[in-house]
Amino acid sequence: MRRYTPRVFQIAGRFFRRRSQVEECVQEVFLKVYTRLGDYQGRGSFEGWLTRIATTTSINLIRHNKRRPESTFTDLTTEENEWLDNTLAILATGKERSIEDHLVAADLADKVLFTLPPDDRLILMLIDVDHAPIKEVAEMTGWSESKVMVKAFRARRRLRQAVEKLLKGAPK
Amino acid sequence: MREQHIIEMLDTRPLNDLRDAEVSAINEHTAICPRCRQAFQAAQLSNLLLRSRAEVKTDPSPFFRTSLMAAIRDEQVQLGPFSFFRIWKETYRLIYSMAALAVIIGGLTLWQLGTNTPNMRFSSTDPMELLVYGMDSASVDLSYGAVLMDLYGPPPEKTEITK
Repeated sequence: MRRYTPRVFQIAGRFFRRRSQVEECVQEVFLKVYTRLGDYQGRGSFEGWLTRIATTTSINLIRHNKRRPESTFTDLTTEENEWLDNTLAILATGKERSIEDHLVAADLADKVLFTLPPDDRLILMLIDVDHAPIKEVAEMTGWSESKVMVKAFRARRRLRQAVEKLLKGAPK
Repeated sequence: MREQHIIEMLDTRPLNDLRDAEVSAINEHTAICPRCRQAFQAAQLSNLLLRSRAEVKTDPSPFFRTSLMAAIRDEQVQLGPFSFFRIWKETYRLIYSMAALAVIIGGLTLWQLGTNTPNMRFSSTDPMELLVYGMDSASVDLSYGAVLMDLYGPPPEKTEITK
């Protein structure tokens, strides 16, 4: 358990913002692993099996707690506004960002991502961040492959539009 | 390509998966199209934000391990050797299959009775057999003597006993 805790926290952390939610998800994952250990037949790596359980558990919890946006763009902090101001220039020059920048970006990412519907966050995290194949995502979510592709397209569009809205609102 | 808007392309695949030719086409187009330039910048930022979000590490709280162990202990109690839950979990398939079998046998029996009863009607003319099978006994003229006759045949002729 000690060995795999960081990995499960990493997976759950991608889907949930609050630590209590992440811990709830991780606990659920380990309970499932404990009760279903007999089902693991040694085919494929244990970590792969565990990752799959962690992802499907996260999906189920997201669906269980399904509700519309958890936040709106009401108040960006000064740091976040500065980050928006500077990042485009940084992107153009390809400079390495500082740790502080990473932290600000992560906070801003939370704010933007949690304005999206849960399915959008799910699909973006699985496909655009984890680079999971469409087929695998379809199996885990129970959607058809074409539905996954359409949902991914729409999720990217919504995220991009949300960021565009932020850019328009950012002080010049 | 220079004239075509690239917004659709930005949403079709993750930005990192775009091929070099596609990236150069995007760059060419965004140089002349402010609307697509803005969309491309937003897509780049989105990509960056997603990566930043993925890099966030959530550490377990100090009490996480304790609460997890408590949850596992609860699960162990639930799955203990004599718990109803465990017994049910291990035997429910057998119970369901036995119940299904009983239903099938019951159904087959009823069906059999329904289809076979007319064939089993006894068509004997023997009054004794009719009586035994309880069929139409009212119309059968069945005296005590007739029953004895049926069972033992006709009585022997009377012979005189000589001393």
